[in-house]
Amino acid sequence: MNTISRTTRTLSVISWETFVLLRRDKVFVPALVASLLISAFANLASDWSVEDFTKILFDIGFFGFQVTGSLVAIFWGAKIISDSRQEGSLEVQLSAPISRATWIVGKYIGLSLCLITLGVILFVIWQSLMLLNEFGWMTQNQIVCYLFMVLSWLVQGALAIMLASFMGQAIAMFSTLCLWLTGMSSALVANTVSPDSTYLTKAITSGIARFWDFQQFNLVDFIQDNNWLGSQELAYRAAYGVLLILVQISLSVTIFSSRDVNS
Amino acid sequence: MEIESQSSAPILDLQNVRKVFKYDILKPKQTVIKNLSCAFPTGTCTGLLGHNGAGKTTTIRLILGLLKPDAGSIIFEGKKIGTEAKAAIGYMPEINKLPGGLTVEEVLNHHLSVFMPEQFKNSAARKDAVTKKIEEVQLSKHRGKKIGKLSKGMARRVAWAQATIHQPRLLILDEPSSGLDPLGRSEMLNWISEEKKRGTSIILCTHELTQISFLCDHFHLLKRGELVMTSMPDAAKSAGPGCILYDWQQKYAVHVSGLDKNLVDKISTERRLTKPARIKETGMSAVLGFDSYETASAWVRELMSAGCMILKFSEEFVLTEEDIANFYRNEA
Repeated sequence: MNTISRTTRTLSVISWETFVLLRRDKVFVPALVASLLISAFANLASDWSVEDFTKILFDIGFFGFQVTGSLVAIFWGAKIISDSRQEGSLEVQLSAPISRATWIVGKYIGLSLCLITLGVILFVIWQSLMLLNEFGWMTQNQIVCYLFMVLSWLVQGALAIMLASFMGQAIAMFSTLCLWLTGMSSALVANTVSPDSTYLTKAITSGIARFWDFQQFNLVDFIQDNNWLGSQELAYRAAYGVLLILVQISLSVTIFSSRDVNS
Repeated sequence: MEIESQSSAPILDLQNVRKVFKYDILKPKQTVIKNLSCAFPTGTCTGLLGHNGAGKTTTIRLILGLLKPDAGSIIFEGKKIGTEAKAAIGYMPEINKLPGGLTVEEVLNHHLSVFMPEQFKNSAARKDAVTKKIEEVQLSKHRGKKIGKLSKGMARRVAWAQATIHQPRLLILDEPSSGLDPLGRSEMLNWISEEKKRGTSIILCTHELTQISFLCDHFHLLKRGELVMTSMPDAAKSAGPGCILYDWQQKYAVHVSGLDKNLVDKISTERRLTKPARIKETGMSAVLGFDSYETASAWVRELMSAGCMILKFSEEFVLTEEDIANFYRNEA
């Protein structure tokens, strides 16, 4: 068996193991319950409004899903690394013929699988809600909007894993949360900075917004056909998300490989 | 007594390994392993001894690649140890360190997939091997139970199963019977003994000298990261003058009361018996150490004829806990 197929095999074992552990995690069910409650609330808000029923449903529902999914991604990302360290399974796993890079990538794939599973379940719930409200099937724009939201969860997960590879669970979670909020608000801050601000302030805010902007994944405002983004813009945003994931996982591998393993 | 050099090639060889920890930016670095050189012969069981904080677990972690040495090299079967070489190593940590959310079956299945992907490509073969191992450690009724729900004794059985399921050539055991009841300890000793008979090289890290006595062919004693006593001449030579070469051959001990030192000389001369390799007086009694069973038996007969009371005749590790304690006290 050559090195590539051995690595692939190891990767699949670690990914599956991580997926199973996360699926059995106590947070999975509360996340689903929270999402159901958000859906119910969005439904009520939509029913009570006098116009723009679909827009209100999507604004509230997707915002709720965005927050729930991101929090779960951050929690799981930090937890899968920290738990392995705390319970010592990291020591046993890395004493096996598993490279640290394979271990980190495997953990990330497992986390991604679990987040995608969560995304699929929420998608089914959302679609059912739309059918119940007689809004019909989700349009292509709405589905793309939903996929970008799931992509943003995957970015948060990669960020949490990167920070947990050298921090404790609590600090990693707190730092990821802060960086996520920074990413969510960076573009808003850069766009609303006062014209009277100094050049340095403008340069810093716009610089941060250029490299760390999670609003790139929020397409709710563009769902209407007349406002929809071009395919080039969509490709750019998707590439930005994938690039963020790759950079963060590469950094995790570099940091994790250079450090001693202490449980 | 002259001890013969170890002739067989070592399965594992630590060469001038050094490890430095920096716990705090404001505090100076601490060298926890100081140019450690010692070999672990193929097909034998070697004990790794030392007080708490002596560097035993750090040494094991260095061998397993969990820690990176600051100097020196670790050679496994003639090559520098790497990720691939670890496929031939089994490791059982001191405490239960398996993922609590997975079942017994899942842990062993995943372990086998990682360690032996070629031999167990299809899941049916893997399942058979896992079932066999689970039966061997008597956990058939608990195969679907999560590790986190198992008792400590059961978790140790799973740890043993995962360390040995891939039939490693080198087995590293860190306090294998820690937390087990007497029955569990006895079972664990039997399993280790069986593994040794199969030809597996074993590194046994323990505080229990009875286990060393029962299982080990050699031992290395660490103190503050240095090799201070060993039963292997080559290791003693490379460790320098600070390391004591311990005469491991004295395997048979006769505990006797009412022994007069002149009596030993008298019996030895009159009966033409080889003198005890070591005589250690402990208050009212004395311990005579012998190299062979025959000599020891002959001495027992003669001592009884001379009116001495034989308190105990045993095959035992002559390095007693008292010896180790005295060694540390004298060195302190």
